Amino acid sequence: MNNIFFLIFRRMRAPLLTLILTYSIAMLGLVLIPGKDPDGNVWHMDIFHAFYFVSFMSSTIGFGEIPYAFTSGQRLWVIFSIFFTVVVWLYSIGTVLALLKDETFQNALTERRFAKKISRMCESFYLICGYGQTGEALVKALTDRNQHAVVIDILDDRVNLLKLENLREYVPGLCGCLHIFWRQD
Amino acid sequence: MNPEKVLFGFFIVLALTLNFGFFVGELDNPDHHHVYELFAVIVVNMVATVLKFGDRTQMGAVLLATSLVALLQLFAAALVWVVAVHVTETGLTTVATASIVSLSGGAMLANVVSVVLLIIETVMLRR
Repeated sequence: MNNIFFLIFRRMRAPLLTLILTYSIAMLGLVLIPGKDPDGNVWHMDIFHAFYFVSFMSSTIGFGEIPYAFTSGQRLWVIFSIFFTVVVWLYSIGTVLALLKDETFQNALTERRFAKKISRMCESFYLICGYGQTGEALVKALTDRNQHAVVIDILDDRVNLLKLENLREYVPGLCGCLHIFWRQD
Repeated sequence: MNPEKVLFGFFIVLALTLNFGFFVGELDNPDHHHVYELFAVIVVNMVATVLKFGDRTQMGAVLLATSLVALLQLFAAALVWVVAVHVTETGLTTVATASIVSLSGGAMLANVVSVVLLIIETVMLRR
């Protein structure tokens, strides 16, 4: 496995831990603070409803005070929880999404997918380095003779052109620099 | 001393002890198993699982796997509890309590495996 996967997961630790801790603190407060039902009896929110309430409160969906209207004590706690859980929610989800969109991470994913495709080919193939005019003609000529080819080019646009081409065989393409392949032997 | 290891060791042992506390008692008696304890076990197990994210070592991968197993069992137990108490509103019958507690018992076994692995790793470090 590539190092980048471990790095991305490691960097997810802090936002996820903050999310878990703030959620549990907000839920615990809601469970412990007594409320009142419509008949005036003391009532404690259970953990299931606390989780439901915190989930929609922190993501700012806000369905209101369920299942009964809150007492002032509960409202005081909810005021504090809104400020800390909303901030933590935005921070955690934002960080995790940013990590998933990280360019190095996405490149590593594309590379893995490409490597898998090639290992699944199970047949010998020609490696075409550079998909310019010559490369294009070469790929066309090879595939017309039922040969397999794999294309690497440094420019993303040229690899995208390959996908538009109407070829007889499936030709996988990757945007990348060739030294990564030489380094592996 | 590696603070990361201290933190993980703390949370995995705490998960085991809390889980044991929830598990002991008569299997089908709801008075012996408090829901707050289950809540604490789930939170601590989630923290322990997240702490193993992105660990490159072989031991780290195995510990992540055992924590995920524990978490899966605990989520199942929580789901049974929610269904019994809130969805079907039958309350904590002996059947429901028994299945919640036995699911948490399975999670405890996974936690025991984690702690044993942690001890083995610690012992192996001494040369």
